[in-house]
Formats: sequence, structure tokens, C-alpha cells
Amino acid sequence: MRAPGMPESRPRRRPDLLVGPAVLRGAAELHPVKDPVNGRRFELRAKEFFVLDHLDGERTLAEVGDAYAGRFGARLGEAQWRQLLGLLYGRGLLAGAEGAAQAGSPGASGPRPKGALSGRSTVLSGHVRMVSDAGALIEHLHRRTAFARTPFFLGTVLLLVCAMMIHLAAEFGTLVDDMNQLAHQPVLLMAAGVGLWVSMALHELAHGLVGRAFGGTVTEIGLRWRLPVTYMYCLVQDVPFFARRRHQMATAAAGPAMNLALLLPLWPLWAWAPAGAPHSALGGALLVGLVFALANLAPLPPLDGYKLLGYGLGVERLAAGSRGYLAAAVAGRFGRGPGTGGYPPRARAVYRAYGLAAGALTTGAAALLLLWATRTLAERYGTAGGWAPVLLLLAAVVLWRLGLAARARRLQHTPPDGDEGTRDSAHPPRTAPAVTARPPRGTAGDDHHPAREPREQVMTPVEQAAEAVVIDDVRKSYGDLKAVDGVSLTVRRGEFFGILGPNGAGKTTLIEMVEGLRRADGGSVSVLGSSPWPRNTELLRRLGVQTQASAFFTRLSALEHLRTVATLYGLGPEAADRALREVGLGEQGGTRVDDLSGGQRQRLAIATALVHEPELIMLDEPTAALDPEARRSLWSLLRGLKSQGRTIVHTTHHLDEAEALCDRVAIMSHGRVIALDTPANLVRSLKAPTRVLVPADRITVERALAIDGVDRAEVDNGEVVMETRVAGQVIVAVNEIAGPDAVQTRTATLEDAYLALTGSEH
Amino acid sequence: MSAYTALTRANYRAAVRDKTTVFFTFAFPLLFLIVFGLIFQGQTVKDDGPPYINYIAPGVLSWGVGNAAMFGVAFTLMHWRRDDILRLIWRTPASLTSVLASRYAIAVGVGLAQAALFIGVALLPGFGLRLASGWPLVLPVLVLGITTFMALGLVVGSLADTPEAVAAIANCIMVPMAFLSGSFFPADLMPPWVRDLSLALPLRYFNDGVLGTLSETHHGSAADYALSCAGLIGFAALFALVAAKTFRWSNRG
Repeated sequence: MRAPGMPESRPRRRPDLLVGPAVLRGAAELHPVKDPVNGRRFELRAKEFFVLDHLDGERTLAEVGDAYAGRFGARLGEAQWRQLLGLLYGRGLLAGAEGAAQAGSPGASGPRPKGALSGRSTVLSGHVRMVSDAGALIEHLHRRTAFARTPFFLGTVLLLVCAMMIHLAAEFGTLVDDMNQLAHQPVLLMAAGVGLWVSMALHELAHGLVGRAFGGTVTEIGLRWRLPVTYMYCLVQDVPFFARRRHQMATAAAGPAMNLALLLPLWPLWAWAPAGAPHSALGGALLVGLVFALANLAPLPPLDGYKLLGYGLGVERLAAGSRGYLAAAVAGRFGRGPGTGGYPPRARAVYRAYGLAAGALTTGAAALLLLWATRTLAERYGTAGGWAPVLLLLAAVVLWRLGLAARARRLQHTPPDGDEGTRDSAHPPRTAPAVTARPPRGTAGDDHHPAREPREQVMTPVEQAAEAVVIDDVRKSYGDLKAVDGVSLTVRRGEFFGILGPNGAGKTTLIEMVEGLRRADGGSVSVLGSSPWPRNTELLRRLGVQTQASAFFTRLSALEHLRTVATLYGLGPEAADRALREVGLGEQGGTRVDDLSGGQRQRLAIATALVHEPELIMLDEPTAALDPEARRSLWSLLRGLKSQGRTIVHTTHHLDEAEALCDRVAIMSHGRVIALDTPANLVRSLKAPTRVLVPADRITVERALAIDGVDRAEVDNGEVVMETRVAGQVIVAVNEIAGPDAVQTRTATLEDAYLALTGSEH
Repeated sequence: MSAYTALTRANYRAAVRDKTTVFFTFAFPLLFLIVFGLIFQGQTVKDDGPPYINYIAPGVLSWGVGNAAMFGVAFTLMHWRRDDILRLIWRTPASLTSVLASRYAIAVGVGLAQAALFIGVALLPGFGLRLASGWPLVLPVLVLGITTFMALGLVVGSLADTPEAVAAIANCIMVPMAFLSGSFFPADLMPPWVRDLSLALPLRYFNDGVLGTLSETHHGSAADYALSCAGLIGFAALFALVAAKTFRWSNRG
């Protein structure tokens, strides 16, 4: 940052920053600032904010320094300037530094944005989302409710609400009578209850809509419970960054205001209804609604009145702040702790007043409630009954404290890598087999083929038949679509057989017919010497199938899942333990299946197919959606299976995978097998030329074309590319011209063969 | 260990680990009981009739048990099909019978536990339910009711492909049925045509059966009892047939 040395420079704060009104938290005054581009939030203290606020691009640093001295009574030294500007610049808050934040200042403080409620739900407290895309819903409603955002509409509604409340206050006695009547009419009482629920839902939407109107975003609408209370909630983000406090207050007040506005239609009906059931029902509903809305305005957490007061006073966590202040004041009185010297005068006044008011309100309400409950119960059940609420209250307090203690203990004892620890690990687990040697690739010369030739395989001793799968002229149609159209192929025992093809080529249908899930329309399928259709349980014991979707028993751990599968095959738990170790998930046995990473889930799916040590294993795109590292480690697992003598049928999109693993490959397109051979033969059958590449400064195109055996030559990307079918001969010639270190060769791969074959079909 | 035991254990674990569902399964009927109990406290049907609680407790009980059996099975079936767990089971030598039997065992266990808790609470002095002497006869009715609603859940779980669809269909079936069958207020107070109409609903038979065996004041005759059981068996068979028709191993084709 070059500014500190230049008192005449005029840095400017970014004009697009969202800056909310100052808030008090504890003894500190903070200014919330949000970067609208990357969404990062900061809380600046008064001095930092003062500087940021004054950097308007017109004042020089010297002028800002003077203003700072005037305000805080101290001058900023050179080092402090450097630090301050470095901080503002590093966090991307100054114009021209937008990208600086990304460049990484990981220490940048500030509350992390909370997009959603976190934590697991329990029976006692928790939450559940009720709207899948709350933002979209609010956006839609925002457009639809434009009519309500006019001063005329809002003013009228508010006036009417005031008039209604005055009238109802005057007639309060009648309302109470009506309520008593209503209490004896269960059906109407239920209707009123339903109305109250609807009103609560609209209450939350009102918070969301008003917040949205002032620039907030709604991320979640749902139901929360802290027994015995359940309530709906609506998470509005960015309220601290609203430009004015009254916008924040309006957002908090919107809910109760909505409740009151919803009572408006009932009011005239009640006033004019003749005495009787409808009249008392309306009156009761009005009273309930009124009490509900007004009680919500009490300034106690977590009610709306509390938020309203906090926004109005510009204080965050008013209740906690008051507790902290009062505790510090009491401790200070007894000479323990620093006292309340660090609190600004306004903070002292606010915390003291709130502490007293909230204390009086809570004790008053609790005492009244207790008195009423005690009296009522004592009348009905005798003196002992009168003590019940007091005892219940005491028991509740004790339980609550015990719960807190248990939670603290649990947090202490949770090992750092519990369930959560494995959630994000995209890497293969530590126990995974190390990546083995890369598959050989044809980069050295024409005579080095990309894949191994099929070798003699170890035969499984159980069966003598040489074929694992025999498919003969199999057909399957869905309506007019011929998914599989006359496929014939044979998979030998111990073979690693690949089925390649674009989506919709019929691979999955073919596999499903082999395992017996689908019946072929025509032709015959024989697996390990018997027919898979209809469901052949003897055969199923010898087959292991892994699917595209990773299917695991809900809410079980990896090991529990595998043990369940093992039992379904009639095996003991040892089989599951072995399969889990085999795929390198030995350490993840206790992890819930939902908490496994993508690679771990694939491994578990394969372990599911291996649990009963099947002779024939069918894998349907086992490495789909894996990162390259995880894929390679899975390859070595698959090679290991093959070396045990098992037969593997494997569908894949990945040509390099087929080339590296498969002994033979069938390429399918439009329900037919269009090629079937070893990968090397498929490549060879292309008769594709080998490309020889030499940097253009070592050889000219003319000279290249003059070499015997070069069919074509052109310059591409600074290299002369020669195509030849006699690579050895050309390389020798090029070596003499350009020197041996300059030559690179590219041979055709299975991908070229595949594209050539499937391309010709389109 | 048999396939049945393994699947029952897996089902059981999945059920108890879903704390939210456990809570609502047991707390929801209780909540209704408390609300209705307080509303109708000390009141009687007609002037000198039996106390309301004697109607409401059996009604809410049968509704709560039926509801849980249906939702639980429908959700499990939908999830197992969507996540391909059904296919996984299909590929093992395990029989479909063991799959259904394990789910059935869980449903019956949950239903009986619900009933025990519920009746225990309803017997508290504040609610004042008094059990009829022949109350153990309620057990067969409960098992039959759970069977019926589990079969209905199998149909719903076969039709619906998403949790939202399960909830929507199941609620559309259960909520109107609860009101029409007299679970929430006494059938004696409903218009005659509603009472006749409700004879076409399985919950009505479940209600009547539970009411007739549990409540001291409504002790039904043996014929009533037989009618309730027969109705439930009939509906169970009907739903089982429909479920067999609509059942799919997989969402794909």
C-alpha cells in the first residue's frame, strides 16, 4: 500500500459497500459493513470506521488525519496509518481493492454469514424447514404485494388498527365475557385456533416481505421448537446492513402489525353481530388475536418486541449485554474484576434500564401466572395441587441446568474427528490403497500399445465352464424405443470386460437383464451357466452388482449397512468387516452413510457388491463423479479384484479407464454392439496415423514433407505436426534433423477409436 | 440372524435415529389428547351422557396409531425405492416376505407403544379416562388397524415418488377421514348422513373397535366387535390387493 507516505493522496472507500447503522455489543460500538460482491461481512470499531467513512476520494489523508485528531483527541502515527490502510485495503473495502479480499486475508474477522439454522434437531429443541426455496417464495410475494407498499395503504391500515384497538380497549369487559362463552364451544374454539395458526404463518411472511422491501434476503422459513413451545420462523439476512434503523424496526414490527391487521375484518363483524354464538366467537377471536399480537411486543427475547427495542436503541444482544453489564457492576462493587469502567455512558444507561425493566417484567408476569395457577389448582385439587406449579417450575429449572451441564460435558468429550470430521473429505481415506503405477500410455513409440494384451487368467476352481456370461441376440424395447437391439457377446471367466457407449446406448438395460432385473424380449441370457430370469436366488448369491445410485440403508453407519447386507445373504458380520477393509474404509465403519464423501460412498457401494464374495461382479460406472485421485485409487482396488480371479463386467463413460483396466471392450451405440475387441486391437483397427511433433524452430514444413513416410505436415501451436503410418522410420529421420530431445509422438488412443466408431453411427 | 431380523434391526435403527419423527409420532396424538381433554374437561355428550373424554381418547388414539402406521410405511417404501434400497434387497436371496414382515413388526411395535403411552396419559386424573373391564380385547383391534393402515401406506408409498407427495397424499386421506369417522368429536353428534358415509371409511371401524373395547361407557356387543374387526380385515385385504398392483421395485421403468 503506497498511501501512508503520501499525505496528499485521496483514497476512496468503495461506494457500493453496504454500511449499517452503528450497534452496541457489550461495551463496544461496532459498525457492520458488507462487501456486496463477495458477501463478506465485517464489524469495524469506531476508529477504523471513522477513517473508512471519511475516505470519500475528495479529502486527503492529511485532512482525514486532522478530522480524526479532532474527534478522538489523538493523532495517527505513520505506523498506525500504514496498519489501518493496509487493513482496509486488504479487506477490499477501498476502491481499486475489490480483488484484494480474494487474494487472501484469512484472518479477516467479522461474523460469518449464517445462511441457515445449524445444528441437529433433537426431541427437545430443533427446527425443520417448511419451504424449499424461501427466497423465491418471498420474491414472488414481493411482486404481488406492491399495492401494499404505498404510504396511503399502510397509513390507512395503521389508522384503522389504532381505531380498532381504542374501541376494543373501551369494550374490554365485553371481550372477556365473549371469550368465556367461546371457551365452552369446542368447535368454534378450534376454528379460532386454526385462525391463530394461519395468522402466525402470515406474521412470519410479513417479517420476510418487509425485510425484503428494505433490501434483505430471506433464506429460510420453517418451524422451530424448544419444548414446550413451537413457533414458526423466517430468517431474514442482512438486517444489520439496512440503511436506517427505522427500516430494521419496521422489519421487526411487521409480524405483530400483520397479526393486528388480520383482526380488522373481524372487528366490524363483531361490533354489528347480534348477541349470540357468532358474536361471542368473534369477540373471543379478537381477544386472542389481540393478546397474541401485543404479547409478542413485550421486550423479552425471543419476541418481536425485543428485536424492535434492540434495533431502535442500536444494541445487539440487549439481554446478554445487560446481564454482562450487571454482573460486571456487581463484581466491581465487591472489588472483583474491572467493573464497568469500559462501558460508554450511553451503554450504561441502556443496560441498566433494560436490566431493571426486563427483570421487573419477568418476575411480575411469572408471579402473576404462578399465583393464578396455584389458586386455581388449589381450589380444584386441594392444597397439594397448589404446590404443583411451583414444583414443576423448580423441576424444569433443575432439568435445564442439568441439560446445560451435560451439553458442556459432551462438547468437551467430542473427539475432533467424529462424524463431522469425515464429512468434507473429498480425498480418499488414509487407508486407501496407494495409487499404483500409472497405466502405460503410448507416448514412446508406435510399437508400444496403450493397453495390455489379454493374458491367461486364473480360473476359479468352482466351475469348469469357461464362460461367465453368454448373451445371444438379446432384444429389449420400451414402447417404440429399441433399448437393446440384438446384442450377442460372451464374457469369459476371470475377464475384465468393459461396456462403453454414450448415454442411452443400452448399457444399463443390458446389465439389468444380466442380473435378472429385467426380462429380455427376445434372445437368451445365461449367467454362470443358468438363466437369471425369473429371480434366481441361487444365482444371486454368486453375483455382486454395484449401481449408479449409491443405495444404502437410511441412517445407518457404513458398517451397520454392510452387516445388514451380509445378513441378507445369510452371512455373519465378519463378511461385512472384511468387505469394508477390502475397499479401504476400515476406519469409516462408524460413520453414517449420509456423512461419507463421494469417493467413500462409491467404495461403500462396491463393498456392498463384494460382501458375499461373488464370482461375477458387475459395476455400473463405478468411478462416475469421482475426482482423478479417487478414481486412480479405485482402479487399483478393481485390479486387485481381478487378480483374485473374479470376473468383472464394467460399464463406463471414461475411455482411459476402459483402456487401463479392461481386457476386452464392447462399444455400444443405439442398442447394438458396434465393436468388440481388446482396447489395443480397437485402436489398431482404426489404422489411425501416428503424429510426430517437433518444435517449429527445429524443422520447416517443407523439410518435414520431404522425409520419406510423412503423409501430412502442418504447423500447429508452434510445432510442426507430421502424420505417418511408419512412425519408427520417420522418428529416426527427424532425430537426425532436429535432435533426439525435440521429438514427441502421439499415438491413437481408445478415445479416438471410440469417437470414430460412435461418430459414424450418428 | 435371519434376513427378517436384519431388516427389522435396520428399520428400527433408522426409525429411532430420526428424532423428529419419533417425537411427532408419540407427541402429536398426546397433544391432541391434551387439547381436547382440556377443552372438554368435565363436559358430557348431551345432558346426562357419558363424559367426552370417553369418546375422544379412543378416537384420537385410533387416529394417531393409524396415522403413524401409514406415514411410516409410506415414507420408508418411497425412500427405499427412490434410493434403490429395494433393488439392493432384490439382489440378495432375501424374500419379499421378510422385507414386509420386518416393516410390519416395526409398525406394530410403534403402534402398541403409542397406544400404551397414550392410554397411560389418558388415565391420569386430569383426563379421567376409565378403562372397560374387557380392555385387553383392544389389542387385536389395534393390530388389525395397524395392518389396515400399513397396507394403505404401502399404496401411498407406491404411488408417491417424493416425501412431499407422500405427505400430501397421506394428509389428504387422513385428515378428512379423521373428522368424518368421529376421531375428533363424537360420532353421535354428527348428522346421520355423515355417520352413514363414514361406514365406507376404514378409520370408522378402527374407531368403533377401539371405542367399544376401551371405554367403560361404550362397551359394545360382541356383534359390534366382530363387525369392526371384519371391516378392518376387509379394508386390509382391499388395500393389500391395491398395493400388490401398484408396487414397484424401482422408479426406473
